[in-house]
Amino acid sequence: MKIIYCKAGCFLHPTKNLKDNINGYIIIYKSLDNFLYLGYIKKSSLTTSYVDYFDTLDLYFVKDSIIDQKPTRVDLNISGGIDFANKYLYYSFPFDSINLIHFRKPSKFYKGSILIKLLNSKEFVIFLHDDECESTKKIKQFKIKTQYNPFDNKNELYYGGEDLKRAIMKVTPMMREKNNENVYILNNKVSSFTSDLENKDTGSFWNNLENTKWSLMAKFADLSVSLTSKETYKKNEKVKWVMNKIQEIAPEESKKFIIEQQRYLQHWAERFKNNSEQEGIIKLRKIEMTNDGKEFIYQTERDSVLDLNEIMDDEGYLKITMFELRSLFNFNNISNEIRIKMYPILLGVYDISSNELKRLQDDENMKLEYEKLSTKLNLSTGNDNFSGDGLDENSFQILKDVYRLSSMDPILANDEGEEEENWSLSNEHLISINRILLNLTQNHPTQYVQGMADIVSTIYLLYPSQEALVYNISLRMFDDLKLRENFREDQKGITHNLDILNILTDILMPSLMKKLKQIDAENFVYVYKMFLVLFTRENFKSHDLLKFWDYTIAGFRKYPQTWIVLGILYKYKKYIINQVSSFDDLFIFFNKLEIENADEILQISDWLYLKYFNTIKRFDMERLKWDVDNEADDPLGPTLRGILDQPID
Amino acid sequence: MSDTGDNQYNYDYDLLYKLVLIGDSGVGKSNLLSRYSNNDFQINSKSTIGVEFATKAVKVDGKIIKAQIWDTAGQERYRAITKAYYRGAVGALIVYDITNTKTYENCSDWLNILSTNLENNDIVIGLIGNKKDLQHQRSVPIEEAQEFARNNQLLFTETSALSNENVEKAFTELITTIYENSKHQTGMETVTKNNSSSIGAGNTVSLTKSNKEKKSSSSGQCC
Repeated sequence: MKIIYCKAGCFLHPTKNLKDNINGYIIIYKSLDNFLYLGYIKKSSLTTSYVDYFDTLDLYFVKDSIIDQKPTRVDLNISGGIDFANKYLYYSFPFDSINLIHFRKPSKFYKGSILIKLLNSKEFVIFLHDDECESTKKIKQFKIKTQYNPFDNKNELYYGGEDLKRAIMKVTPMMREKNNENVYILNNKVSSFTSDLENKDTGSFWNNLENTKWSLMAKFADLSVSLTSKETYKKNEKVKWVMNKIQEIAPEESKKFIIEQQRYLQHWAERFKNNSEQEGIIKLRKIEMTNDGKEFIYQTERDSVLDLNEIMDDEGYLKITMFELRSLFNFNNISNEIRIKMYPILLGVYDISSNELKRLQDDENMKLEYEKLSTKLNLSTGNDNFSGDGLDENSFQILKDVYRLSSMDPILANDEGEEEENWSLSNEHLISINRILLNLTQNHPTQYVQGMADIVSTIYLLYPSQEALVYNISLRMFDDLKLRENFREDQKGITHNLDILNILTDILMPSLMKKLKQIDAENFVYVYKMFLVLFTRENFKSHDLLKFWDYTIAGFRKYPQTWIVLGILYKYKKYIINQVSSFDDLFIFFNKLEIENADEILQISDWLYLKYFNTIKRFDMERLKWDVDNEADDPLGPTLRGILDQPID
Repeated sequence: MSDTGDNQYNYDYDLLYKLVLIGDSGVGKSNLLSRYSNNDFQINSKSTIGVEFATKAVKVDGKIIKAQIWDTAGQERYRAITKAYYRGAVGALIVYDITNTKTYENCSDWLNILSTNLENNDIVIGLIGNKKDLQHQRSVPIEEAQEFARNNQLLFTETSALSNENVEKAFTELITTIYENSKHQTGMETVTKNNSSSIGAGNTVSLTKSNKEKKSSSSGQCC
């Protein structure tokens, strides 16, 4: 027999318990009678030398998946090929007997899998544990370094099914099903192999697999990817019921569940952590698992990465991938030097693959473009005359607020003797900030709103005198990170953020939510400013403001500010429940709040994220008991699922 | 009435009054507040985002009154959010800039916003023309503002947060009027430190007074 393809880390899930999973290999092979087969080998049935052999084969085909070329064929170096097949193949069937193969992409909650439907209507599901497949890891690492853009939804992350699909396509024609791009049809009519297959001794095993249940599970996987429901969380009684039930989970059960399911979320972080440590580049923070899922206990500060050389080489090339960079900013404390260098890269102002020279060239181009833009500013904006005389409303609002920034930092101080009466600017940095704000708002429907100057000035203080760069960073923050949405006149952006906060507080901190409702404070307007201007220095006892900015600019979470605010709410939950007696008290509390340890808040944020992830996972497990024939009936809805969106998925 | 200092009486007061400062952006609300609460003036104080907050304790008629002053953002875009904070207020100061006619013209809008967002109409309202030190740039005649105040039964004062002119007076008049009204209505015993939180709900103290009373307290108060 000749093996054409081998893939490790392929699992059967005979029950929902992880311990019952069966590890093995998918192989494509050509029999001595020249028929092509798809086979599955159970790892535990192999001797150590065979395990080594198949692991080697798994890696042998990596280059096929990276570089498109004719399939490599390997003679299986074993005597008695037929005997081997009979002895070790858990099952196998000729490609001519396969009706279709459904390649299921991994979701937040499920492994990738393939569903094989035979012409005799039998279905088999094999799960692809990418984290346990060395070849997939290598291919993925290669793809991430060369292609992966976390903000591009179309450029989806590589998963093990892709190279399997590619390998199958090389040996047999497949036609994509018109209604589902992940379904490939191999044969449409019953072939002569059907009866042979039925006679083959595979039935006993598959009959015991509870195959139907796991096909059902795979349907959930599809659901969680496709997000087809239009139902909303608040209106759905089923969701309320299940959510309540989840909240009532007995501690032991909850703990067991969380420990079991944490693996799903950790796989990514763990793998990158291991890779990074091996390469000596960065240490990603491991999410603390010592907490029992009920209360967060702060233990130690997050790891710090302070030396730019750890992530950037002498020419200014980044040593790490974009994913690693986003992880770094989400999970670690970093130095100001790294922050200043990386913000423009994280925001896409500079290309991830650029070096210092290229960035200098980009700076020059940026300046030219910015100058052109500035010349187009309406003359009535006071572009040349930085005083309040004769300005339109938008320009006057900007000027007035920029003028008042002069107390923010010594470098922004207006000259002595400047009087408020004509709001005139003499400080060159203030003039720059004024111009940046004009460029950002003059031709945009949202126009200038108070608070925008706070954001831009914070960036400016990181890059003083680099007006074009500050403009471009601000523009990306306003539009790519959607900060401008919070300033909309119709309140759509900020309302959405506060709604998400409401939902998450309800799920993650029901006792706090109960209190907030008691004092009519569930509108969360007292944290409005935190969303609007990304927190302010007054919120901190130390100089930790930019740690929250790092978490936001990292782009690692879909709603980073919401998770931070949740972390703050959690930290002060007991105080609010026990000490606050009215809406006004609560407002005053937040108004005076000085956060002592931003590091702790960010760790709580990540912990809450994990808790929410587990809640949703639990919800999906509950759904197994429901009638789920209608795939569009996902009562959780896209809003609740969308909260978990993150680049690593 | 005498200033007791905030810190000394932070947790020791007889009455709690919630006051709101409203008016267009840039008229000097935050500086009025910092001048009154800390005797401080920042020529370049940053614009207010949402709502800020300060307290000051004063003694009236032997009672210690804690004034809880809510300083709101003036920009129109923030009106939807700032009105959430009006709830439970027993006093309000509408501030305009005497050098900027538009800020004065918008005072009637602010008055409407107050009346439509307050459950309790028995609120004492003061009109303040700020930046009195900029006489040479005055564009709002004092007589016109006085007339507006009379017609709407408002207290009226012109102030300068910069030179600290009439600031104390403006707040004091507001607080005293609220106190006198509550004394008439309730015999002074309704709001104490022991149930001060209930004032936030606006359901314990009644500040209703007749138009005549209101008028008399507003007339003659201008500078």
